[in-house]
Amino acid sequence: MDPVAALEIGTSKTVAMVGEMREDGTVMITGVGEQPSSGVRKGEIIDLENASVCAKSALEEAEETSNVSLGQVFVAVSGGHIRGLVNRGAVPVRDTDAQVSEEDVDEVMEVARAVSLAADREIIHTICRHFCIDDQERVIKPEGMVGARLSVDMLVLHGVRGLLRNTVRVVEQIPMEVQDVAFSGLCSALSVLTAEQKTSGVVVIDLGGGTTDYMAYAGGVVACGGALGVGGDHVTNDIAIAFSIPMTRAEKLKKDIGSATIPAVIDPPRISLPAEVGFPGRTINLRSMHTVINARMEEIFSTIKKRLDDDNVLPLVGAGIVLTGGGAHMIGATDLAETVFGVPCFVGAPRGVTGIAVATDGPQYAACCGLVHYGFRVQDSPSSGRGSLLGAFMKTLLGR
Amino acid sequence: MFRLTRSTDSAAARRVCVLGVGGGGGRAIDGVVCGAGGPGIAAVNTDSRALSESKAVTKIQIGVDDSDGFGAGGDPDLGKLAAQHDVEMLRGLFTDADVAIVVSSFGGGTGTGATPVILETAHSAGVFTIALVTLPFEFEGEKRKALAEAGLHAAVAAADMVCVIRNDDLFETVGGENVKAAFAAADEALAAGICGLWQVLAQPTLIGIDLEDLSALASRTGGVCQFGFGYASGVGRAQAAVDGLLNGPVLEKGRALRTSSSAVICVAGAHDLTLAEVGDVMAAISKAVPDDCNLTMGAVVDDKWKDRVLVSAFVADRKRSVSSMPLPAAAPKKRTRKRKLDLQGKLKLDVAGKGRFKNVEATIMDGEDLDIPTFVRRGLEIEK
Repeated sequence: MDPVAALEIGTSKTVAMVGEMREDGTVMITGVGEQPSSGVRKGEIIDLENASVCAKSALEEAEETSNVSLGQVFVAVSGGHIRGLVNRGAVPVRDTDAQVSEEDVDEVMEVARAVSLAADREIIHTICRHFCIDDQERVIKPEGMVGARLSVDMLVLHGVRGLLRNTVRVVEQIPMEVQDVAFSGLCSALSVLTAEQKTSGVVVIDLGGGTTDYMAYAGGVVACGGALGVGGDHVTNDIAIAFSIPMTRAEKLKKDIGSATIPAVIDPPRISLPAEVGFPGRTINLRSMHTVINARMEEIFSTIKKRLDDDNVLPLVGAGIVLTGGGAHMIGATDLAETVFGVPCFVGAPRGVTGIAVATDGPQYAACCGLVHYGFRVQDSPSSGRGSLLGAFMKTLLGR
Repeated sequence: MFRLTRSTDSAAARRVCVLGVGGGGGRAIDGVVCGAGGPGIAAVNTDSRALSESKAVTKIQIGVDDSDGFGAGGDPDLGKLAAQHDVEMLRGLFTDADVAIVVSSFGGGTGTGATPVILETAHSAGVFTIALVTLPFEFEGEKRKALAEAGLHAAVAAADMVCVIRNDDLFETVGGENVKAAFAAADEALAAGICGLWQVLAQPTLIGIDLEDLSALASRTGGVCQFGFGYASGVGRAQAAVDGLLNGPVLEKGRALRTSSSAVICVAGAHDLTLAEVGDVMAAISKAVPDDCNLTMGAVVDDKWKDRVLVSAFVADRKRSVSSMPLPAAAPKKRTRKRKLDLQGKLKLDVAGKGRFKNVEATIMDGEDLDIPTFVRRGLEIEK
């Protein structure tokens, strides 16, 4: 199988990866390129030129390490504009002996997919949750079963066309061909979750720089998903504003000692920032800083909880919450998530990938590794059919 | 020589409102609130945090849209814009007032920019306006000095009377070993001066000063005068207070008084203020001023002064009349330089406002702008 190239243009970093499928079915990452992003805010492109330069150097770096010449690439998209909705489509079973045929399945999926969105929005993924034959809910594989009426619940992930197109245009400017775009929250889920977790119900939350993506699974199928245009950058920005310090200082403080929970005892209570050119030294009350971080992180988790509650997902989550993305490194992030969601919470790193250690270790690369997985799944399945995806069924829209 | 005037409208106390504009003005009136209390005191600022710390009864945040509640960032244009946007809100302050004392520190953004707009608003509401303005320190540099001077010209054009105190003089008065103590002392001293001014105008006075006296003084000087004060307590307090005024740095060690063409002096004290003390003060001052000086004196009794005596003076200085101030003609040349500085101010603001999310589409959820720090929206206490 051809190697897959994946590109994630994140808010804080742009990562490119090249993966090869090995004979034992595992994916080996053979090339990695990483560049600090510019021209991206909250997951959305605000400067095509700069974003394109970053993407180009990241891809070149990945090409160099992997010794592969890349012509086309899978691209991850995110941003607060990405939302999910569940659409149910239904068709009568046409066959005379009332057996569901493959044509029936194709037809019902086509119907469920034909969701009417606002004029400026475009579908990114349509993911089949489960089928329903007459009154029998939660049918995974309906072919050959008997009934009069076949329906299907389809999770439709959609985003604003212009913003999605911008991401594609960044890649086209390199110039490079876009094979497909995928929602980065879905990629993270593909990367860090096990089939077992999906069966017992799980939510993966990718704490990115500019966005927080989430994807929930219940009963082995996708339940809901989406993104929030608030991320680690907001935490940094809050710190910078609270203490009137430069963003770079705030970022370093956040990464080094910032805590999502407020410890009972903080020792030492203050930290001093040494002076340098253009910045008078000062000390910062750590309790205040943790309070600032805690408020923002609590808000992010609560907002996602509200979204999950809307779909009544949390009672079905047996395997808890998996945090990933750069923000998962934050001290106390899992504790805070446990408090907010009331379920166990872990940090998830990419699974099922080998190769360059730096890329396969950290949660911050989960989405990009997942995108490589996604790429192989898309290449594996005929473009018109539905690729089997850990119990769920996914139809990707190629050429969009 | 001096004449004593008996107030004609002392029965109906004049309604005076005191406004602190910007950071410096706000701090100054904090002292007024502590010292004398009472209604008619309002703080006006663009910075929501500074406002939240203000002790004023009425707090008005202007330019929420222009500065996102994080101050004007040293840009007077932004301060001006903020005041213009919320001019209706400001007009409400003056509905019941006869006199407005607008206190402001010039050289920054909000004070320098918003004060002239506020003065204009008050003037158009038929209120006698007195601006009490502090000018920046020498060491604060040419930029702030230029901004302050431009602001002063705008204030002079808008106000009935502008009283100027230079920070350098003010701080020489109070001394102080460290910065914090010096600022606190300066604010206290300024507050004492404002209290005096306010009480002279608002309280039924023993020997009153008419607004006509003040406006006559102002008209002689083109609207600008110097404001000085001295206060003391204990034995020989009257003499000590006059000494503070005559020899203190606020009025250039009394030089301003000694060369003044006209002056309005007010003595304030509690009920234990004796006629002899008032007489002492007046004698000392009339000895100090030139013979041809047009001197008006008043006295006010207010128990809030306890055992202190405060002597405040409005002095029209011959050598420091408005003609010696830099003329606005110099402004166009400065304009280009100011633009550059504005740019710098805005860069700084970028860190302070919504920060890096200022120029991207806001993330609004349930009516809340999530780009604004959570701790700000939730009103959490943060030790800065």
